[in-house]
Amino acid sequence: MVSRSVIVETVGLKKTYNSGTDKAVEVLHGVDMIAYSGEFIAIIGQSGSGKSTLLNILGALDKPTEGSASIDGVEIGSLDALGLAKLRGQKIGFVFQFHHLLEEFTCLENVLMPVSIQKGAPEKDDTSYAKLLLTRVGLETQLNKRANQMSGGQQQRTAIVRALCNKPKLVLADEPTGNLDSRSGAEVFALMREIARELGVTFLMVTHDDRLAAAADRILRIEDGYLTEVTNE
Amino acid sequence: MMRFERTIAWRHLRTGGGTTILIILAVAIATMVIIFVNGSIAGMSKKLMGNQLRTLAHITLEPKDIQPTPLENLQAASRSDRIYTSEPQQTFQQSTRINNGGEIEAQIRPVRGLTTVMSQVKGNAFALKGSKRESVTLIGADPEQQERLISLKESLLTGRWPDIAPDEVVVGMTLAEKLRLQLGDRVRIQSSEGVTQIFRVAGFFYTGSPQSDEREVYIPLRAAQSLFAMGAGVSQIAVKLDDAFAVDKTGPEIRAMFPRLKVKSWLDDNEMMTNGMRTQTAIRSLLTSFMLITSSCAIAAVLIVSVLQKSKQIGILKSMGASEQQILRIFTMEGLGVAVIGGLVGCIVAYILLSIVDSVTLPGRYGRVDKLAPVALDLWIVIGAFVAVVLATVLAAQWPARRASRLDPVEVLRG
Repeated sequence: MVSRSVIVETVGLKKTYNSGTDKAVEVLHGVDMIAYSGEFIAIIGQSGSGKSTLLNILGALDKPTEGSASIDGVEIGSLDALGLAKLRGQKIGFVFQFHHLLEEFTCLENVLMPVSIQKGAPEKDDTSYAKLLLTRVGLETQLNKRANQMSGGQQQRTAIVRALCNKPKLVLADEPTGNLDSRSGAEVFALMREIARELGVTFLMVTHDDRLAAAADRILRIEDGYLTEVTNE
Repeated sequence: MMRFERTIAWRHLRTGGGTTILIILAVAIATMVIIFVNGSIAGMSKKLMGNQLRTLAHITLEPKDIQPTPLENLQAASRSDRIYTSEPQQTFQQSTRINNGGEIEAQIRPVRGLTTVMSQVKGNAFALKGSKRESVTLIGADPEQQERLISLKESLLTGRWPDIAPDEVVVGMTLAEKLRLQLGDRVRIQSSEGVTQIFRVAGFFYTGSPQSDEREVYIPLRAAQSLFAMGAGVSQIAVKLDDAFAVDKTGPEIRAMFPRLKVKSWLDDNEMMTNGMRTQTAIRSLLTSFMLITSSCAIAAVLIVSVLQKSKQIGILKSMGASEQQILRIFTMEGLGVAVIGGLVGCIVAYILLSIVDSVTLPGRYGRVDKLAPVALDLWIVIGAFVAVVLATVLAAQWPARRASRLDPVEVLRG
């Protein structure tokens, strides 16, 4: 049996907003979860259930109030602002509901942005890898186009490649198909699924779409701040 | 180093459109106004100071004034049964003189920073031509040395100087007009000692300083010594310095060497002018500070708007691993870029404008050409304004830059 490495692990993860005040609200009530390399996990739940809060913590954008959360063995709670930024840059990729591409930059420049943040400027190998990924998602003819010159599906595919360009261990996708029509949404989802498998990257995808969730390796449901695993039948 | 920050900042500026143009314009105008105001005021000061200094010795050494003895101190008047009152007054003309001018000159010459040291005979006299009679200041000196002291040749309208004969004089143009003198005319000079001699007019000068043009008559030293019955004596030693403002240092040094002489600096007699200069400097500094503050506020305001517009982008960059320091540097570089471009544009435009103003001339008196407004095209003013504007802009960019760096990506991405 091939051993898979643990990419995401949370133990007793709690998040309280306005902690220490009479307006304190606990959003996550002790989340325990584990995600292995190459897994594609769907996170479902109602609005306000704590999905985005969990994603923000796993994305090193926020810190837990209690408990622990580690990404590829790095404990998020122990890092300062610079450490969190480094962790995001080196091990995590984001795909948002809206593509959030930078309008002033071309498709290729957007994709290479995480590399530029880490290294100052992309090297030849980085550019080759970015072009390879863009070709993989069918955007080889769009390299020099700006975000506003591409369709919604193309923009989201660019955003997916951007999340992968830095060779992260974990990609967090917050309703990546939520802003697309059903056909483009299905295409983008299929693409993420294939790439996750090909590159061995762990995907955590928040979605409201039950059909897409059903196609994931595992489904986790968040309800009122509690995380449970849903048996995928 | 910092290529990522540079790339983003530059792209912001390039794609900023109207905002970028507006902010660059604000910096350019601030730079331009600072250079223009400083250049104009400095030019005016330089002209006033130049006119004044051209006709002055920087340091003069004279015999000390004879202090009149009060009446009550006189032995003849020291009777206790009488009351005397008296008020000591400066005598109009004192026949004091320096008899060892050559020795004093030789002692002063080794002092650092001197360009000319010379003996002069200076005194009041009348110039007479026909029935016309004018009160004049007679300056007797070796013409070559006198030329080194105040450069009269530059102001010579017609005639010869300094190559004048022992019986020739050079007079101010306003005085010449009053006496209706022509070149080559004979003019009688009567000194306060009552000695009269006839001289031939060798030249007319116009310095632009009324004091000089209306009253001064230059004659050779020997002729002046004869007119004032001084023998080989002189009335003062005149000193010119490399730097007129070094007088604060050189004056006391010379004063210490000659405690028995009255050592005066040009500043002593021109207090009003130096006070005026100080006021001008204060006004320049004040105007420059106001311009810097105004432009800094404008820049900070525009950059704040830019940060608000780009807050989502900042959130995205942070989610991709950009640190607070990187975001801070992006907006600082944006400010720096604006400052450098705006500053350069302002420097170039100000230089062109000042050159134009400097080249505009008006016909002056006696066929001379005067500048409409004297300006100082001083490179240091340009460099100073550029550096001040760049520093002020970068400082002004710090507030919006810090605000950008502290944006919470979770908040801004949530929208």
